[in-house]
Amino acid sequence: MDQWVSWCLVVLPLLPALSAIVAPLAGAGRRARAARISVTMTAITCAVALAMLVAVLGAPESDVTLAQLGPAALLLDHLAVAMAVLVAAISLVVHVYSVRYMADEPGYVRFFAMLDLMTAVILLMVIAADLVTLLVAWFLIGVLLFFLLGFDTSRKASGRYALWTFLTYRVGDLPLVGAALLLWHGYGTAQLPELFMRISADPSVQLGGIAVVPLAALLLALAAFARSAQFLLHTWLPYTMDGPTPVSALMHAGIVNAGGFLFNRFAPVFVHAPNVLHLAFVVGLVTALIGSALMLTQNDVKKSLGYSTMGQMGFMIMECGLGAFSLAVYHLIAHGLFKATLFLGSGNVISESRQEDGVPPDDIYSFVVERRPLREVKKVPWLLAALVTVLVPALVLGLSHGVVAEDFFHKQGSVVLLFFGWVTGAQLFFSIHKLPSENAWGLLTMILLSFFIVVVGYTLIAHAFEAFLYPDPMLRDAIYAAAGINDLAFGILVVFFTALLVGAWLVTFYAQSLEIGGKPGTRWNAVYLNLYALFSREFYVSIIYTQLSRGLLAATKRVNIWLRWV
Amino acid sequence: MIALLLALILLPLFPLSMLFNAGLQALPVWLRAPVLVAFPIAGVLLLDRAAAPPAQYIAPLQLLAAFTALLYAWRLLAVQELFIWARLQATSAWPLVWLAWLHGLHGKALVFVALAVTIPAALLMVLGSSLSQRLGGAYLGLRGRIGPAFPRLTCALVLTLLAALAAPPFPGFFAMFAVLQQIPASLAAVVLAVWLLWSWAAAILWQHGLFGKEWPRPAGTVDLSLSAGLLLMLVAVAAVLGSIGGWSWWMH
Repeated sequence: MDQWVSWCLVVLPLLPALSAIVAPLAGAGRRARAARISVTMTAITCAVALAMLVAVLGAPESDVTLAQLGPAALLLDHLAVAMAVLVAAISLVVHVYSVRYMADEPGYVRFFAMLDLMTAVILLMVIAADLVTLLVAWFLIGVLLFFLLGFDTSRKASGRYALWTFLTYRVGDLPLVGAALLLWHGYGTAQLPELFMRISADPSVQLGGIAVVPLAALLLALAAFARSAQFLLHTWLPYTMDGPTPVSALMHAGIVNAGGFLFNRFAPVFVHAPNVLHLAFVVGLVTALIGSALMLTQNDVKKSLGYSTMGQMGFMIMECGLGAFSLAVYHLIAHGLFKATLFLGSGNVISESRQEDGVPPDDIYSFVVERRPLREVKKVPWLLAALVTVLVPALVLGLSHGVVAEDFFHKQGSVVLLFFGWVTGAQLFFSIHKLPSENAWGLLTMILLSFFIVVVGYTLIAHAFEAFLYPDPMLRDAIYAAAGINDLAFGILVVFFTALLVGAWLVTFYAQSLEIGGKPGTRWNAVYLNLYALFSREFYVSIIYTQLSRGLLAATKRVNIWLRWV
Repeated sequence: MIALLLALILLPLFPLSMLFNAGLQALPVWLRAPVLVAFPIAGVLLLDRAAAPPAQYIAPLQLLAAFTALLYAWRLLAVQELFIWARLQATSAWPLVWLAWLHGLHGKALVFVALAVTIPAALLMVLGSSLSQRLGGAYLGLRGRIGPAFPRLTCALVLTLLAALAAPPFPGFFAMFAVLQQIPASLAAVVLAVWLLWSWAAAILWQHGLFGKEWPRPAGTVDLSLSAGLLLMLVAVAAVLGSIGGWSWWMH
């Protein structure tokens, strides 16, 4: 690529960093000017990222640009440019939104400076080409996030939850340090392109009798789990809603999904660590299920949004575990965009719902109070509805993927993803069928059409994106192969989960007639209530952590007193 | 051997560290920061000249260093007084210098590591006396946040704590990396645990000073002067640039 691309690569993290210094100096006593400088610099950063994207699209597929910024090596490949455009664009939106949203806050200029610093550090992370630069950026994100989440210093709660986040991130930083040291010692280089070449040439290097690559992959996965709020390292995420809304948007859209980025950046390491990919699949699946279940059981809207992100991050890590690395990036981009929109639009939604709650009128209320005639609700015959529910998603998904890539079904990961697509689609049709409607056929047709457009569009984009992110088909196939398991075990698992899901649907369908809660006083009712308590208390995970840390602090105090504080 | 014993006193490990801490606490406030830097640096210079200990002492020394580092890092969690925090943190950092030395780190690199983990603690001592002059004690979290009353002092305090917990781009980060590169995996786990405890303790401490109800500024006190603030900022920038430059040189 041209020389100007290297310059752009260097300028990309420098511009927001410069803005973090210039904006507070130029805006001393003039808040609006500081915000204008910050927004302008972010807009230029976004333009630089887009220019790099154009350059990458026009260059040969294997062309990678390297640049040096002091001791830090920077890298521009397809993954880096995709992430840089996402981060710069979301940061620009967040900056523009904050100009008015934060206008009454006392630390207005400080807020923009920290937002700029955070943008600079995330950009540095996505373009880092050596282990130390990556570590520096990874570490700094946790530090800056603490100060952004704890922006409102008048509230102790914001500090408390910012501390939870900081600590979890530090717990996640340490495995990354361990992985970096292992890889560096084992392969004698900290430069990522060189490191990956050496790993491909000899993936079985050992240190002290231990294979370097699988252990490094495990440590990298642990770092990704902490960053992306996987189960048992998730407690900080639902509680960080005390931070300003623009920070929530940036965090949910551009920081928490760094785990998916890490998996993709170190794809050449994970190719040689199939067991770690299986672990990622299990952890992701458990996180997705628990996150989604907790999202549904929360009565606090913001916590519910937090658990929704946790569920999405679970899916993202699960995709990595299945070998669909590019899909994980696609997922994190899509999730970043829609979650940022949700957060930034939440103020308007609350304002509108105060005027009009948007809940459709109840039929009995309309009939008795408003004295309007009852709607004539029609239903599609149940057998036909069941067939549509089960067959249509399978057909649309199968055909669309089959047309785009003939060998798609040979990969186990793809089959599992299709399975999830089928479950989601079937659930959608099932929910639509349950809705009372005067024109059931019309509703069903419309949802069928929407489903078709979404799936076909998604399939086309996902495959194009995969070819963009991983132009080397050998690497793509190697990742899928590494994520595969024994065919018999795979078949048994698919049958088991299908049976489980169909059973769950039947239970849901007959929920009322089965009296799931049981009669009061019965043993089943006690079990049901305990289960409900378990979910509503979020499995007591944060309570256990709090008790453990309190115990640790109390013991520390006692020891300090015994030792006279010396 | 004598050099080694002297180093053990100047760069103390448990239980000599208790004597050192007690002595430091007994000193006048203005003398604490210079002593905190001078003693360990003298210890490191002695270590650098000392011959490696006999083989049978290496394992116990490693064990003692790891224990001291972990014990003092853990004890930091409950400390809210800045002077105590600074000396306990430094005491937990010095064993890492021992570990690096025992595994072959010598010369300028060893002195750099010792300086990088000691100077932030000394600066915290200086800031502690600043706080003490204004509030009557260097104790955080007693009544609320100090940010609105002393913004420059609070900013300096947070930045120094970041340097003390070895956050990048402060020299401590590169020092930790140099230590970790030198030692075996079992000790690396200890060093990483110590690093985590520092982060936890520093975050608790600055949380005490940053959040909560506003601490009213006592009559007759002012914030850190602009020149003092600028001086501290220059020191921080010089340390950061110096450590990045040093790292760059080392990498190449």
